[in-house]
Amino acid sequence: MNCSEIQSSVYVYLDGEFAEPESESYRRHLEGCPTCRAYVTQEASFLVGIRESLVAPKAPEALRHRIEATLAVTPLPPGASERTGARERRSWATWAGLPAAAAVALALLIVLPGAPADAEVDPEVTHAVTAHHREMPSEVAGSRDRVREYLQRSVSFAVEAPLPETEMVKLLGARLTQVRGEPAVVYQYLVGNQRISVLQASARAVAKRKRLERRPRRTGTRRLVHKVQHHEGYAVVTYETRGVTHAVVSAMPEAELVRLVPASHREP
Amino acid sequence: MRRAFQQEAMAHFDALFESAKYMTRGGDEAQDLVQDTLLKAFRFWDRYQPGTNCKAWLFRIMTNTYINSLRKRRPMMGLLDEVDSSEVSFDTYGASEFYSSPAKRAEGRMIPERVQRAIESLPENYRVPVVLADLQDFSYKEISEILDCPVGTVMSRLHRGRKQLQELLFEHAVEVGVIPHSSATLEDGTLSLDAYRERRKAVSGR
Repeated sequence: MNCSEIQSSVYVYLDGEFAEPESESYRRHLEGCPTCRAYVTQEASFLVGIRESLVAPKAPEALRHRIEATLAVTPLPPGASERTGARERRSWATWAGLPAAAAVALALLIVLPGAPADAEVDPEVTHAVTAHHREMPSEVAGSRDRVREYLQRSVSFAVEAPLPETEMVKLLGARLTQVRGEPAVVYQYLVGNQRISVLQASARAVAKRKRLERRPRRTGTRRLVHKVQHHEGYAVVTYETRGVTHAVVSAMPEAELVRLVPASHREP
Repeated sequence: MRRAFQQEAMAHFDALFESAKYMTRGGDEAQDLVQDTLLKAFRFWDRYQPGTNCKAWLFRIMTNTYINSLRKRRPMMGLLDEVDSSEVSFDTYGASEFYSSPAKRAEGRMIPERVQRAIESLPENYRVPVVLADLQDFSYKEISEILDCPVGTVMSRLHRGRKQLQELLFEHAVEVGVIPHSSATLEDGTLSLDAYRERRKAVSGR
């Protein structure tokens, strides 16, 4: 090795990446060459200096919880059960057996967005606002059919993308989530240049929960009409169709948001 | 499977996050990058061979995800095609800035924020290998697998990346004594990056 080769491979040497014969010839050169020795010493102190100064930023615990919570409601990949035994199946059966840590994480996920939710606001509303506000990335994107196929494996209600796609309305994607332990879906749309999130949850689950909370049942006619609720500065429109509760949230004006509700469910 | 993923993959959550922070230049993007990485890893967990290098596997997913996100933003500029001779600005790292904050001087140690800023200013094709090698201690072979490129490419990018880092941090490194003052001063005692470079050139014969 000559001086030029020594210097151009200084990091290979310092990183300990040379095989023994090269390493040996490198060392032999250094022994006989004070210039290269000085060069390598300087490079070594610089590299050590860099490494010592690389501080690891602390990973936010909230992010860990959020990921664990999302993982908990993400269907197992195909073939996973074969490797770990037949007991785990790609279904909501696993939900019941979730580790306690994940369950705690889920609880955190729901509670996280700051102040406790207004008692008058439905959990679908707070959840839709959280998902919208945080701009959580989609798990699945593509055509309506692809999105439906992906989501349907994990939710009990019949999945159907809530808004009809037009020139103006684009489906960006969707992700699985859950509201009070029940599987739910958040769709993301772009309407013009406005982002819109729509949460879908099983209306049966909502009704069941409301009975548990001993709230009076709504009449058959009223529940078909949309409702506007406010949370964290967002207007959220909720309505029910075919056993699915929808919560639509966006930064756009309330009147425009209401126009996205299917005509049959709009207040006359 | 969920438990296996929790134990093997989530164990690297901190390492993924700290590297993501450097890769994405300290922005909030790091959080999304880590989340996307782990969700993808979960979806493709059946492709991970148990007992193999899980950390390298996860980093491969993360660097691919990151590079793809860059491509989406700048379709004409991919990681592999990016010009190697990209210009580096010295403006922010000039001596004046350093001398104006004497309280930050620490003998024998570079200021982490400055090192971080210098790393963040490297182009992606140097920054990513430097983060993988110097923050995560991956071997050249692991980096070549993570970045899906030959070991020779890893060597040259790492070399150029660290050299560029050295130029960015030169004055700072001399000031805190990481690079010996004697090898970097002119006869009148002033610091000179040119003098340092000249000396290097003279030695390497380039």
